[in-house]
Amino acid sequence: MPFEGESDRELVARFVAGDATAFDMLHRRHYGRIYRLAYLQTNNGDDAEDIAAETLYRAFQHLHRFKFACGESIYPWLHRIAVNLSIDLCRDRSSRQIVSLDLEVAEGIRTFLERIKDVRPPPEELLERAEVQALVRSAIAALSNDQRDVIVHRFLGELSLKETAEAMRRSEGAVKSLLHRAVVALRKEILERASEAERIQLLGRKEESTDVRGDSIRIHRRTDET
Amino acid sequence: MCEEILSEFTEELTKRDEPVPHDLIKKYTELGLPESEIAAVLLARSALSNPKAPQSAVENSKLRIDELAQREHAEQGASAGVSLPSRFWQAIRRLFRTGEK
Repeated sequence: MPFEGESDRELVARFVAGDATAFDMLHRRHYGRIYRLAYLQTNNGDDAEDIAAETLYRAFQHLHRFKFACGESIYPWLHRIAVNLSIDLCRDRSSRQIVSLDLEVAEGIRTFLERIKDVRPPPEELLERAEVQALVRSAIAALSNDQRDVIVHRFLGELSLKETAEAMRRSEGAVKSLLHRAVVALRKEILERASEAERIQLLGRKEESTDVRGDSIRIHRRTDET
Repeated sequence: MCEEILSEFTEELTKRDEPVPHDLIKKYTELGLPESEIAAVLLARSALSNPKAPQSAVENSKLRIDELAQREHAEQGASAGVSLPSRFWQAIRRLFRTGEK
């Protein structure tokens, strides 16, 4: 792929000088990120596709006027466009997402958040599971705007601390502190969701057991209500 | 203290490809970073690297931009083909039309 090793700044300069093919590399570099950001916001593949396409389309239209305020990446600019489009789309929707997990997986997440090494299934396998990723995305989406942004800039946008600070118009020290608070809050959100998923699974099992012993489910339910 | 170590850990993590870099985990737990925070970071990173965009979505987006680029190119070519006096009179007419509104 031409221009593979060039920075966004160099590609934008080429584009402004009249080489429209430089945008191909920017599209290739950022489409996936913007799609995942939009998926995080909307929790819907079709909406994510529309938002990512519209974001890149608008970027192409306005790139001539774009000025690098910070860093070497156009990601913060694309991030803002995509988030605004997502807000317009999701204004009337509930963001709370219920994720269903096996008991073993829910327990694995809780163990992983305490002792990384002793987890069953192994950490590599646990992290690859689609339902675990969905649960974590729902936890990230539930964070405050600042906490969500700092995590998304760092781990999705792959911005450095300095670039994250510039994109969020804060000092590096403030971003470090915010990142720490965001990680602690995220851990809490994930734990709550994993416990909720476990509880739902356990209740489901008890519901199943009513067919065999109707008395026991009433006792279990009373215990849960107290 | 924890904030500094966590930031350093995330900086090093962005340079790595493997989902669970055991040597980094060992290094940073020894430096005092709680495993719970390392685990939350690893979960966040993994969740945010998915889902992958369908190839058809990438191609559709690219196609839409290519069409826009071609349209802009054609418009530029068309306006370049019109002589300077003609473009001048077109601009004057546009100006008067705007003034009439």
